[in-house]
Amino acid sequence: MQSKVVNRRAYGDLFKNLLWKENKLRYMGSWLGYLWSLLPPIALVISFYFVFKYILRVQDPTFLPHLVIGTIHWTLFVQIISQSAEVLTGNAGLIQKVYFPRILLNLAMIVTNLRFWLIGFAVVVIFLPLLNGQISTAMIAYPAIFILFMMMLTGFSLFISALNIVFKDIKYLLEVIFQLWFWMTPIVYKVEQVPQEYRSFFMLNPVTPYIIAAQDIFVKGQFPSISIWIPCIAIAVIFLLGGWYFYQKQVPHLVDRL
Amino acid sequence: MSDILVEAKKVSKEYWLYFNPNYSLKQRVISMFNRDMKQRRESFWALRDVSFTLKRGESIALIGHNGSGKTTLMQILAGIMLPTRGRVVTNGSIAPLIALGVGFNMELTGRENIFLNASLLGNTNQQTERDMAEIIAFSELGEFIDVAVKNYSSGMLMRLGFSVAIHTDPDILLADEILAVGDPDFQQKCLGRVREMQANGMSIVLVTHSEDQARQFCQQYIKLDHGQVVDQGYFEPVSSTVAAS
Repeated sequence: MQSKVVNRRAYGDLFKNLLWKENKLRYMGSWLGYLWSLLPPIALVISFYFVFKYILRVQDPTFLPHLVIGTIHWTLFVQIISQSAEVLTGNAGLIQKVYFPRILLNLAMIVTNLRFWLIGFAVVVIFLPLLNGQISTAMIAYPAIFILFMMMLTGFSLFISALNIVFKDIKYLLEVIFQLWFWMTPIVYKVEQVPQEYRSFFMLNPVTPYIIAAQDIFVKGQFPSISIWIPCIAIAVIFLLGGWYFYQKQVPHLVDRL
Repeated sequence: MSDILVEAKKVSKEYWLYFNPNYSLKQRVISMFNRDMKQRRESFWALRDVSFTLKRGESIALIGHNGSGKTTLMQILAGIMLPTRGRVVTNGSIAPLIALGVGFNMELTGRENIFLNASLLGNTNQQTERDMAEIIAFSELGEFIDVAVKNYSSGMLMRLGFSVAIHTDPDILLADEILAVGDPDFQQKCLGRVREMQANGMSIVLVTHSEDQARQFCQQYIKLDHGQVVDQGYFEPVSSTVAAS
């Protein structure tokens, strides 16, 4: 009878297998495949470097690292959230045929994106001195910021997946929202450049604190201030709990609505 | 360990049929302004007050025509769907054989898909590794096991899917009309294997529209029609001697 107890605990292996599958399918499991994920960040760095240093000749020496750090974090956000919309409905064939905790699909998608993103991010960090960014002791704060960012992303991802059970066109809506959202986030500009009267509105953007924190660390070489840590922590907790709650409410009705 | 494997109490499932379904946000917004596009819905009951008790080692057949609610009941038993009313308590591991080869990915090899499929059915990778040789032997795929399954014939795919499912060693096998696949010889082998597993104490919940098949494998039956139980009980004891032969 004991093996049956193990049976119920086999979800860890299911998760491992789902991750393994994603990895294998993306680059057919080749080691060279990982090299492919180095190319987009390299292309990003080179094109930004060329355009803003030699064509637009932006005077602000912190502009380039600010832009690169902001963009790369924004990219992770967009990748995960846009895939969240269809991670459940896209696996309808699986979900209708067998029971397993559906959240494994979400988590496998997130971890897969993360894995390739981290490789790209490592490349950006290597290029930082060239971009006039800072390699400093402030970097010890980054893992904590990153974990908080991932908590926010995971919560938001669960929310979007669950929302897509209710409304099936969320994906298309997201495309438009991301366009607007990008320009509401201090990636191309700095928060200090936003007119004072609008600034508090910009700080309502849940992505902003994490991007500012990363820019503080890698651009200014500064430990993020307490006024950045507080929203980073608060948003992470609220999004994770809220997203989880909404997901748990919607997911039992998933099969009825597929 | 309890002797009762499955207990279903007054299980009912209500479905909503949507006319002009508002599955998208766009449609919902439009329907606020345009009355013709307004969503209407009608309910119908796919299952009404189905109750049964399945004891360890016993098998049950769900008999009925298409649309009688058999598959809905199966999905509820498998935990895929929640009943609208009533409840189901299961006590033991379940292998849902609602479709063969769930989660098979065409780009992966047979061997890789065995791991994926078996873990979806609740196996640990350690168990799968232990049973690997047997799974491959039963499927008769030979060296094709290391070829991407997109190159398999449909028969080969079914043999592989079936082989994985019966090697997960469940307490309860939920079979949606699938007890055997492949050519007549292979089908005989499948049925033999299912009988052997039953003799070792496995229970089957068998969805079927053939009463003959039901008699061969099950002691208990429920006849469903449009979600209602029309008849329920045990077959004459003669069936058990057939099952044991």
